Amino acid sequence: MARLDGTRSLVTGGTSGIGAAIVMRLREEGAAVVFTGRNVQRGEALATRTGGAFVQADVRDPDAVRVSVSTAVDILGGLDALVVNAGILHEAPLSQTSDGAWDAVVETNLVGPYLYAVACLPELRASGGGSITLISSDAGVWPETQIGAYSVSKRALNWLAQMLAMEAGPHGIRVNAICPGDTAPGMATFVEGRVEPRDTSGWLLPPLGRVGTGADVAGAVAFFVSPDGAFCNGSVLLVDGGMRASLHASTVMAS
Amino acid sequence: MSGTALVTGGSSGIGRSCVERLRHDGYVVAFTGRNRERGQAVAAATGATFLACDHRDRVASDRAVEQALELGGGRLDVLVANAGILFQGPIEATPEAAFRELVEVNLTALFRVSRACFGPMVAQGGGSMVHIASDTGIRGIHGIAAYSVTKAGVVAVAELFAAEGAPHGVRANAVCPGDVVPGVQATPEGHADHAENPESWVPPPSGRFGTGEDVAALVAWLASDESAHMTGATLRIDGAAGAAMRLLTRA
Repeated sequence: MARLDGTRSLVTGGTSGIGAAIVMRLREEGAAVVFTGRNVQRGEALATRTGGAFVQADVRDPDAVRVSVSTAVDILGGLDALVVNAGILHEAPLSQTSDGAWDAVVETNLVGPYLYAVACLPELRASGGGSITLISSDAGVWPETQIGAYSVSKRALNWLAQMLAMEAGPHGIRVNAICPGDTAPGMATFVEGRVEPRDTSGWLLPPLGRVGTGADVAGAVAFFVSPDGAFCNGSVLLVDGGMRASLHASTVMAS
Repeated sequence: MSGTALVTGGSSGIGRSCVERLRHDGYVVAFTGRNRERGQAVAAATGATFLACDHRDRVASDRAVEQALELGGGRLDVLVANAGILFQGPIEATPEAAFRELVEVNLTALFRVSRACFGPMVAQGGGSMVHIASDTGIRGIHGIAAYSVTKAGVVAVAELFAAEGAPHGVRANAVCPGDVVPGVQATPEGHADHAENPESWVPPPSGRFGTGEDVAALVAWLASDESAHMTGATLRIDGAAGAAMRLLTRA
């Protein structure tokens, strides 16, 4: 019997990058998966490939968030795990961050996860417990000057995980955050009102000598979702190849 | 000490104490507030300039910074980013509108005011930003969960402006008060019943709660050249509450 057999899971931002890797991993381990995303073509292709179900939703639309949760619950017949992965990055120091970029980052990376968590908590309680896993960032642990708004949003997201851990814990719901370091391919990036893939050339390598992959992060997600993570609640887990342990301020600035 | 200072949320509480202290220390002070009557009373008592402003209104918030800069003849030496609101309750009991308002006032407005002050401070060769966060920005408190989330973000904003401003002589530090009487009374609209309630507090090891004057003294030091090499720091001021961490079991 696979580790996640019968685990009814909702993954946000699941059509590409880390999110797609999470969908694939949860399916491989036997979970039933509904995943959201904005791009219908990519979503349907991944659904066909994995046997997951795609629901189109933009995390910045509160009504779409709530509809996607109820749709997922209808498809799955309940909910045991929420994985909030949808996120957006903007490359600029705070002083050069426009209102538009700040709002996009805060809405997607902080308000969106709040909306998903609040919408899913009653469903998880109805299942007698479960888990919420928030995909954060190492920038939430140590802010990076060149991705200012993103760093702020992820710091706040780590706090959201810890606050939820305390209030949901008594209901058997575990809430954890995963903080990936640089992971290829680069994530969706807000550029002059559009969303583009991040330029990943010039990345410094962590002590392990390579950048992370979606599969690296997906492995940590599967652990938190599974019974192996049964006593993890309020954890903030770095998955960064040792980058944070090795960096000092000057390299952060240089990157 | 001389120079110009802007204090956001200066008509009551910690902000008011900062206005009084900075005036006492010789600064020209402008401060924002929502309540005109209270603001004008503080202005009359201290000689500071009151700028009526609700930081939920981004246009008004921008205008307030411009007015403070005009007051200083284009200079702004000190920013005390203090304006904040609080909602008592866990995350799940925080309505969407209240959550958004906490993010807008505590985090976005604080970021926007800091951004507006950053350029002039760089241009004039230096300045000091003091971001009033909270001990909940160091360790969250379940009973004021959404507030804690925003205050974690405030600490990050201070760190980021410190890193960015350091080469230009612009400093930024996060001040993290513990329980300060009379507690944060400003709330999201329609939620006055979710303001902070000091009757529920447990005193820290120092045996008393903090006062606005306690915090203002630290702010005044961070504003001054006495603290010239302090930047990017996160400073608790809490009577050792954080050092003597009580296990906060689920209440």
